[in-house]
Amino acid sequence: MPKTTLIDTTKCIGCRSCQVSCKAWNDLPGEKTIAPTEGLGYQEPRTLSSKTFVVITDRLVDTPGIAPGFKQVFTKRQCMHCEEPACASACPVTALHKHADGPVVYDKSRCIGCRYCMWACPWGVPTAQWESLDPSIRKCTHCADRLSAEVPQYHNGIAMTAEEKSHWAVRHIEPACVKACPSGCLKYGERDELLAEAKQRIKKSPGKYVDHIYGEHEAGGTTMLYLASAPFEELGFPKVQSEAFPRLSAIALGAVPPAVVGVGAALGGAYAISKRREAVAKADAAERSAKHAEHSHPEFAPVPGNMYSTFNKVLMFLMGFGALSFLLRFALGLGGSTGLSDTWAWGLWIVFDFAWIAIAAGAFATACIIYVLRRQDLYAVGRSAVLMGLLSYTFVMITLLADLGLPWHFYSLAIYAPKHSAMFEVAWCIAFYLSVLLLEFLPVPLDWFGMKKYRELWNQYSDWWVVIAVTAFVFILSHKLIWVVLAAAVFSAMAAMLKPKPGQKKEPIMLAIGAVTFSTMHQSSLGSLYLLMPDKLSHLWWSPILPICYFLSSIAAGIALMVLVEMWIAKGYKRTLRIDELATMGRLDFWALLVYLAVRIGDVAVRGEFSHISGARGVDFLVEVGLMGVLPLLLLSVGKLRRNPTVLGLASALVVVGVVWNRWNAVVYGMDLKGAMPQLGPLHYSPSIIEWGISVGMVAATIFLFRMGVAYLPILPKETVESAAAAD
Amino acid sequence: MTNHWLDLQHSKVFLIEGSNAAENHVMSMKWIRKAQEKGAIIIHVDPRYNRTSSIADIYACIRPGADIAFLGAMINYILENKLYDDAYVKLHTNALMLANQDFGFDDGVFSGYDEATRHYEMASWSYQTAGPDKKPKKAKSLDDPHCVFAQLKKHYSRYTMEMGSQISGIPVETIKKIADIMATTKPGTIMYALGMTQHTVGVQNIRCYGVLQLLLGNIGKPGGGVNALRGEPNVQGSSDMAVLSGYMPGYLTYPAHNEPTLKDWTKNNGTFRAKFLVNNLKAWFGDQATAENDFGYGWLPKRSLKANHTVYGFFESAAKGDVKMMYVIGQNPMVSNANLSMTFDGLAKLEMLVVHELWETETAAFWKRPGTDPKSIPTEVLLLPACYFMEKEGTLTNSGRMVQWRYKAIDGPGESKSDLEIVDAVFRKVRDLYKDSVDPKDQILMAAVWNYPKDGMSEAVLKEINGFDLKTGLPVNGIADLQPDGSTSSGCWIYAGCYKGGKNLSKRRDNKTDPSGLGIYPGFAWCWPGNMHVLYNRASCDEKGQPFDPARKIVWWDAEQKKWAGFDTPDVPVPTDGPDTPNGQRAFRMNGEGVGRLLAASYKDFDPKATDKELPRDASYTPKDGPFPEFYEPVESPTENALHPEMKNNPVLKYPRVKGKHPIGKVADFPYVLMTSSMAEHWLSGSITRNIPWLIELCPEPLIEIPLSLAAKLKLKTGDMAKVSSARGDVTVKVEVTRRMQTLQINGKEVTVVWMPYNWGFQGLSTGPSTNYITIDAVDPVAGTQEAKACLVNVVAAGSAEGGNRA
Repeated sequence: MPKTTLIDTTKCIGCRSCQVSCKAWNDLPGEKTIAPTEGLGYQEPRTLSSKTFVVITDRLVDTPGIAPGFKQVFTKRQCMHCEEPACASACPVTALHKHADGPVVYDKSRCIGCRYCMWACPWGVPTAQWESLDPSIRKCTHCADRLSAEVPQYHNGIAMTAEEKSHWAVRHIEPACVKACPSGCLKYGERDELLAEAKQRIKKSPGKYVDHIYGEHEAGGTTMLYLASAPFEELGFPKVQSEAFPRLSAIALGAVPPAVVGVGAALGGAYAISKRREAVAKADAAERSAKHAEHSHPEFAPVPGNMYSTFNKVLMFLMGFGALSFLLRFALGLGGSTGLSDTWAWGLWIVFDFAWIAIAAGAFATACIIYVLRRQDLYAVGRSAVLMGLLSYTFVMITLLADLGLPWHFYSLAIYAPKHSAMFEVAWCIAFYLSVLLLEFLPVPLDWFGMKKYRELWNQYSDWWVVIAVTAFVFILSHKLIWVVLAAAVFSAMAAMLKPKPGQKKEPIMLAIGAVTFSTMHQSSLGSLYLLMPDKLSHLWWSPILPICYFLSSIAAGIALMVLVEMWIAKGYKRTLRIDELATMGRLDFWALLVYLAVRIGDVAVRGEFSHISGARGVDFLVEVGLMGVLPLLLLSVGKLRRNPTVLGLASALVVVGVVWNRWNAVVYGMDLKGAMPQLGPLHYSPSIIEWGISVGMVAATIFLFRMGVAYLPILPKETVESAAAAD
Repeated sequence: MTNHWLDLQHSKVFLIEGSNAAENHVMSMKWIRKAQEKGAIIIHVDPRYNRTSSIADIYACIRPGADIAFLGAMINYILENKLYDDAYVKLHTNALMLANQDFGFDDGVFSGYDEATRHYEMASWSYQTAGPDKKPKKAKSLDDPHCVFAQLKKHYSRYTMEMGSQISGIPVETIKKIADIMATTKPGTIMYALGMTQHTVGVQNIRCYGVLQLLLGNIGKPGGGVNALRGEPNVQGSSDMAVLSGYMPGYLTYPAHNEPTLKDWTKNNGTFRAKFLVNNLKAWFGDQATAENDFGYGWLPKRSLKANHTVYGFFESAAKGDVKMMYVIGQNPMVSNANLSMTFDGLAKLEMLVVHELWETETAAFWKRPGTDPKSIPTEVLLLPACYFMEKEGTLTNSGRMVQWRYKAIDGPGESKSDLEIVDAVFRKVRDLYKDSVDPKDQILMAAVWNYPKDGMSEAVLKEINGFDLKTGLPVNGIADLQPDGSTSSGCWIYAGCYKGGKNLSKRRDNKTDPSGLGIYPGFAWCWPGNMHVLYNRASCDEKGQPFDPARKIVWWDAEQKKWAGFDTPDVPVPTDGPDTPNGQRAFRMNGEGVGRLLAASYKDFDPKATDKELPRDASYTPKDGPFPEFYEPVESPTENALHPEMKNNPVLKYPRVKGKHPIGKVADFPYVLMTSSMAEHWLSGSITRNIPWLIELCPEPLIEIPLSLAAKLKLKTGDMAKVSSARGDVTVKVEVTRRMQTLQINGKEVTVVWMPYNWGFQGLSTGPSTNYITIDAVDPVAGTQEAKACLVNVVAAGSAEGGNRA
C-alpha cells in the first residue's frame, strides 16, 4: 500500500525541525545562506537543491478584519511523490522510479545525468549536484531507506521484547521529518486513510481550512497531501493539472511501435509505386528517361583543396577551442563549466542538439526523396547529404556526452528500459539511425579505397541490419511480441523483395527506408520530450501534437539546409550551381513547409492560443511563423523565384533559421522556468564560454570534416567545366 | 512548571505571555496542539508577532516591560466583576486573612519604604495575628475591608482597563476579551519564560501570574498552573542543585554573614527547612558532620548580604580587580551578559580564567576579541575540552521537574571529559594541594566526602543526591524518611526518593501505564518531589478533600482508607492527615500559611508543639520589592509612569551600580524600544548552534526586525544595514522590515519597538555582532536578572549590505 504524509499546514509552527532532521538523516551539508530576504521571512535556504530536500516557506497571508490583519503561514515543501511521477516517466534509465510503498526513489548507478527529470517535474523538485564531478540527481525520497530499517535487539542495553520491537518499528519506520515534527503537522500512514482524515478535518472545521486537499488530484494524485488555511496559490503552490503528466507523452510514445511498422510498410509501398511509375515513364518517354539517367548516375570525385586555407585555420582554431572546452567540462564539472542551474537544467547544448538534428534531417529527407520516391534527379546531392547527416549526428552525440552528467553510465540505456520515456526513445532511435547513416555512407570509402570484400559484406548484410535494428528498436520500446513480430515481418519482407537481382547494382533502398523510419521516430520524439512540460512551455510552442510539428518542421528544415549546403559547395568550390536540382528541392520544400505551417498554425488556432499572442513572446511567435515560415513559403511557391539562386537561398535560409528559432524558443525563450521548489521565479541563464566553445567547436568540426570528406573522398559529382580548385 | 509538559493537553485556554514557546520550547507544541484539537484557545501576548503568535487564536501586541499594567487590569476586571473562583479563593488562598493595619500603598511605594537606602522594611506587610502560636486572623467574608482580598482589590482598583491599555498598548477590548476568556474557560494555564523574567520587575511579573491563577482557581489542577518553560535542557536541574547565587541545593537559603550558626539560620528559615539543610550537610561532610559541630555548618563560607553575588556582581567586582580567578562552565557570558563591555572589563582584569567548553567560546577567546590587542590582556586562560551531552551519562531535569537518566551514546573526541570528570579531577587536585593547610577556611576541603568511583560516577552522585539512611546504608525512599538528627543524608532534599528502593528511578521508561488517563505515567522516570507531577494538587479538591472537577480528578481524600489517594502523589504534608485536620487543608504546604498567597506577606509560622519556641517551623518568602505586584517602567523607558510619575522605576532597584559604566539612555536620544531574545535556530549564546552548519543555514546572521513605519521613516528596506545604538554602544546588523513588528500607542504617544536576537559573537562558524553590547544590565532587585527585554536604542541606516556576514 502506498504510504502518505498528510501535511496540515495549519499546525506548522515553522520550527524547521523537519528541515534539519532531513539533513541529518540524509547526511546533507549546510548551505551558505544570506538572510534576510524581502518577503521570504524564515525561508532559508530559499529553494530545494542537491543539498536541501525540504524547505519551510514562510508567508504572511492577509486576514482583513482580524487583528493584526495578517497571519503567518508556514508550509513544508518537498517532493510530492506523485502517484504517476513525471520525473520517473521522463527518466530514460529508470534511475528515478516509483517505489511500491509510494516514494519516488533514485538509483544513481543507473543515472546518465540527462536531467530530463528536472524539466519534467511540475514542482521543480529534482535537483542536480552541479559542483560535483560525479553528480547525482538529489531529492526527497520520503525516507524510503527508513522503511526497511532494522529493529535493534537492544535498547539502552536491555533486550527488547517483541512488543517493544513492534512499538519501535512503528515509531521509527517513518520519514525522518515526520518523526521530528513536534507540532503534529505531519502524519504518516496509508493514503486512503489519511485522505479520509483530511476530508474529515475539513468537514469538522470548515472555517479553518480551505476546501482543497492539495495533492488529492494534482498531477493525477500525489503521495503528499496538504491541508491549509489559505488558498494554496497564496502559499506559493502552483496550479497543477489533475491529469497525470506521464499520460501526456504515453500516447505519443505508445504510438511509436505501430508507427515504425506503419511507416516502414508505407515507405515500402511508396517505393513500389514510384518504381512502377518509373517503369511506365521509362516506356513512355525515352527522352525524359535519358535525361533522367544522365542525372541519376553522375560520377563522383574528390575535390582537393588547400588544407591550410584561412577558413580551415579558423575551423581548426574553433575545433581546438572546442576540444579544450570539452576537456574543461570534465575537469570542472557541469556546475563549474556551464551556466546551467537547477532552474536552467538544459541550455545552449540542447538548443544546438535540437536545432542540429532538425536541420540534419536533410540526410533522411534527401535519401527518402532519391531512393524511396525515386527522384533520381537529385542523386547528385545524396552523398553530401548523407555525409552531412552522419557528421552532424556524430557531433550531436559527442555534445550529448558533454551534456550528460554521468556519460559513463551510458550502458544503463541498454539495461533499464522505462515504460515510456521520450528520452529513451530518442536515445535508441538516434543510435540506430547513426548506424544506418554510417552504413549509408560506407560504400563511398569502400568503393574509393577498393575494399571489395567489405563492400560485398555490405551488399549482403546492410539490408538485414535495417531489419535487425528496426526489430530491436520495436522490442526495446514495446516489449510486446506482436509489434516485434510485425516489424520483423514487414521489414524482412521488404528486404527480401528489394534484394537486387543478380547482376543488378545494389541500391541502398532498405537503408533509406530504415533512415526514414528512424528519423520519423526520433524527430517526432524530440517533440515528445516537451509533452511533459505544458506548465512550463508557452502554449504558443507547447502542443499535444508537438511530435508531429517537430517531424514536419525537420523535413522542411532538412531540405532547406541541403539546398544551402549545395549552394555553399557551388560557391565555395567554384562549381556549377545545379539550379535545376535545387529548384526541385525548393519545390519539395515548399510542400514540406506548407504541410508543416498548416499544422503549426492550425494547431495554435484550434487550441485558441491566437488570442493569447501578446508581448515579446507574441512577436517572437509571429517572427518565427511569419517571417521565417509564411514568407519563405510564399517565395518558394513561385517557380520562377525558386530558380533564382538569391531568392532560393534566402528562402531556404529563412526556413532553416525559422526551425532553429523554433527549437531555441522551445528550450529557452518559450519556457517559464521558476526554478527549484518552491519556485520563486525566473533566474537568468547565459551560456558560459565553455558551452559556446563546445557547440561552436562541434559545428566547426562538422564543417571541417565535411571539407576533408569532400577533398579526399568522392562526395561531390565530377565537374567538367570549372576548375575543381577550391577558393576560400 | 507547577504542572508538566503532558498536562498542557488538558488546558482549555493558554495565556502565553513572555514566551515564544513555538520557537524556544518547541516540544510544548505537541501538547498544545492536542489541546487545540479539543478546542483550546491560545492567547499570545508579545511585543513581536512571532511563530507562537502564528498559532494563536488571539494575539495581543504589548509594549516590552508593561506586563503588570496588562495583568493588573485583568486582575482588577476579574475582581470588579466577581469573575474569580469564590470557593477556591476562600479555601486555598490567604484572601480572608487580615492584613496588618499599617500596610498600605501610596505614591508608588508600599509602606515601610526608606528612600535613602531604596529598601523596604517589611514589618507592615504582615498579618494581624492572634493566639500564642501567632496565626493570622481570618475575616468572615471577603467583604471585610481589612482582609487580604480587600487589600488586593484596593491595590488593583487603580488598574482600570483604560490604564492597562494606555500603558501596555493593548486595546481595551482585547484586554477585556482575554480576561473574559480566562475567567470563563477553565482550566487555563499560563506559560512564560525569559520574556517575563528579564525585567527589573521580573519577580513581580510572575507574582501576577500567581495572583491571577489563584483568583481563577487554576493552581493545583490538571490543565492549570503557572508554567515556567525552563531554558537549556537542564536549567531546571541546575537550579535545583543551587546554580542560583542565593541558594543551597533544593532552594534552601544559602547561609548569610549574619547567620553564623545553624540556629541563626533556622530562626530565619524555620525548622522544617533546617532538617533538610542538616541532611544536605550530612551528604557533604558525612561522619565529620555531627550535632556537636552544627553538622559542619561552620565550614560553609557565608555570603555577605552587602555584596552582590549575582553574575553581574561578579563581573563588576572583577572589573574593580577584586576577583583573581573565574571558572566558567556551561556559560558564555561574553555573549549572553547584558552590557558586554562590563563583562569584558571584568575578564580582562582576572589573573586566571578557566573555561570548560565544547568549543573555544567568546568567553574563552575574549583576549582576542576583534579590536583587542592580546598583549594588553594579562589574564591567563585555560580551556578544558568538555563532552557534549551525548558523550556523557547522567540525569536531566525538565521543566516539569522530571528527572530523566540519559545514557552515553558515544565517547567524546580527543581528550574531552565530562563535566563531572573534570570537576572531580580538579577537586581532588585542589584538596591535595591544600592538604597541609591549617587555615580554618580551607578545612571544608578536607572535611568534604569526595570519593566517587571512576565507573558509575554519575550514578554515585545521584545516589548521594537522593540520600541514605546512615544506619542501614540504604538509600532513603523519600522526603518523609529524612531526619533532623543527622541519621540520614540527602544531597538535595527535593530529590529524596529518586533512588527509592535502591533503584535509579530516573531510568524508568514505562510509557504505557497511565491509570489516570491524564498523561501522568507514574512509572516513567521520576518527578521531584516524591514523583509528584502536578504541584499543589491538593488544591484541586474542596474542603472535604473531594475534587472540584470530578471529570478531571487527580487526588482525593479516600475516607475508607483514611488517606489521601490519587493518580498523582498527593501534595499534602502527611498522607494520613485528613481534610478535618489542619494539615489536610494545607494545599500550599511550602508556604508558612499553608495556602496560596495573594499578598506575599511577611510571615513566620510557629509550631505550637515545638520545644524551642524561638524557632519558627517555616518562614514564608516575601520579595523585597513588594507583597503585591506593582507596575514600574523599565529603567530605560520611552514614557512616564502613568500610575505614579514620581516613582517611575522599581523603588528597590539600584542602578547605575558602577559610576560611569551604567549610563541610562534618554528617549530624546534613543527613541525606540529594543527587545531581544533567542530564536528556534540558535540557542542562547550560540556556542553550540553557531558551530552547526545545519542551523547556521537557517539563520545565518543577526538582524534587526523593524516595523514598516520605521523602515519608511529611515528609508530602510530588508537586507540593508542599520546601526543600532544605545547609551552603552552600537552594533551594525542587517534589517528585516516586517509587518510582524508593530508600533503602539502608549500614554497617547506612538512608540516603536524593534527586535534583535542576541545569539551572535565573534567565535564559531557563524559570527556577527553581539546584541548585548547595547542592552542594559539593570537587574531585577530580587532575582538579579537583567532587563534584556527592554532598553532604548536609536536606529540609523548604515549603507547597503553586500552579502553574508559569515566568517
